Amino acid sequence: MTQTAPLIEFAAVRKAYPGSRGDALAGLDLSIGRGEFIAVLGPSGAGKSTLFKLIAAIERPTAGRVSVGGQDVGRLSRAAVPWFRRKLGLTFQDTKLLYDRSVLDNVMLPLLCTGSFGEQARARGRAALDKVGLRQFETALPATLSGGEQQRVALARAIVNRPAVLLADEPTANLDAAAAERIVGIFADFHRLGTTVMVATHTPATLAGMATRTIHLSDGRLVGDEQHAPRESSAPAQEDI
Amino acid sequence: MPWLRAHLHALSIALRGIAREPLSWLAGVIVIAVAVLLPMVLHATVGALAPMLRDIAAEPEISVFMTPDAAPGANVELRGRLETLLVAARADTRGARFALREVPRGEALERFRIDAERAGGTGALDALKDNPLPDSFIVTAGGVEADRLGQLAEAARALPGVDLVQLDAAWVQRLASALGVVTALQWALAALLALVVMAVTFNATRVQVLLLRDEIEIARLVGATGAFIRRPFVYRGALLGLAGGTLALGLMALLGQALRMAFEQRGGADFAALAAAVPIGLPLVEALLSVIVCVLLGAMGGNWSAWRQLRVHL
Repeated sequence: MTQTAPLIEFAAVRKAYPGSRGDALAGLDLSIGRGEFIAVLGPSGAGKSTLFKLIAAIERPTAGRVSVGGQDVGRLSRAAVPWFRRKLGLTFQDTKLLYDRSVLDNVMLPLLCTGSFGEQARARGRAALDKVGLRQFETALPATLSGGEQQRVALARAIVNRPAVLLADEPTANLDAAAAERIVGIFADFHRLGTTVMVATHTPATLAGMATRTIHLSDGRLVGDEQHAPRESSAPAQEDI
Repeated sequence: MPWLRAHLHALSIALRGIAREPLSWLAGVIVIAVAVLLPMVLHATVGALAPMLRDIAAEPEISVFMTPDAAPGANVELRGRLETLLVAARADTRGARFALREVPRGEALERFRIDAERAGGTGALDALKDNPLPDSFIVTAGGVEADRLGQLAEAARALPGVDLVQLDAAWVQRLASALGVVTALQWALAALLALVVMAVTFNATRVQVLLLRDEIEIARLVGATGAFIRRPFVYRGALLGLAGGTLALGLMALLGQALRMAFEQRGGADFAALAAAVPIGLPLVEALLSVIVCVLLGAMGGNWSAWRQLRVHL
């Protein structure tokens, strides 16, 4: 059940990559409300990453319409895309960190892109690192951290601009159970603060009890859509950064 | 001032990038410096030679021939008019030197006879009953541009009692055309320089964009605009132009000094004059302008390359 008015809508969306035999998404219809915590499940090649790429305007739909907050994302001009992306927080399986920059510099990157510099940016970067429990590593280089810690740095970078939507593509892949649970706990905290969270995974157990809704994709099609009552996170509630 | 901070941030990124790979940046600086050096030296040489040429070449003459049937005393009248013309010309041409000399028809014939004797015979002259030559005036003009000389000749031609005016313009035209060729060459070289600076910064930026591909991709994912991404490359290009232009000025001074010393060591008045004519550098304003042009070209090359790479490859 959608909690509020739809924030993200897919209407008959088809996405085909040049040179690929089948469609990555084949006529997807999906509506996501504000404040939902959605687990996107499906095997490799199901279309999970493509779903996120279309929401973030990294790819454009071959057919159909993707809208976020009423904006037709597929029709955004090249110049408008960066401004749109600032409303989103993105994390990826491969973290996409800058390995020659400190942890704090990585977290501050979105702030620099939006014209926030100096002490103000550093303070916000540190606050984001506090949220993911890595404040003590702000001067460290990402390569010196564990996989789980690097994923948390990427998460801090995703939340530093206080995004309305948090998209995480396989953030717990390659992590041990404890590290994965910690990451999911942070997502749950942000969800409680009103952020719309979408997490793609092919290990549904990691999100069990946290997500308010689970959607299943297979071969680019929506094959399942379930609503849940979330359990309370064991992590303490955190204030908005 | 957020815009200032954004620019300072871009500049710091550019400087960090240079510090990471100083040798490849330096190679670009040297290429630009050598490319810029050629037109700079040519420009300075033309600047030094032009006044010298004006001074050392024989001063041009305007020959004003009176009508053969001029009334007695007409030469006095014409001399007065010519002097008036020269006073006006002197007033509006800075540094001009004029002289007016009258050549009576008898003196002209005598000169002609001497020349004919040197050439081997005066038979034709001896056969003449009367002196066919008119009275004339010769105006010598130093430090006057070719255009102004032409205007002066035209004015003389319009005076009453004047039959023919000859402007000894051969050398003026040769000099003007020689300077014209050198000036055209200078502009062609300057255009070439612009291309070289743009090409060097374009290529250096292309390599940098490809090296920083991952970083750029991440910046884009977190909402960086094209301008934000391109800005450090623009600064890098500008710094390349700045360093290249400044190095070219330094090289020019060094080469000029070395050439001067070489001339001075040979001794003699001629070599001393040559040594004095060797340009050590450009005048301050021209030097500043040259560097500013290099900076602008570098910035443009950086911006263009980054824009293109981002659009085509990323």
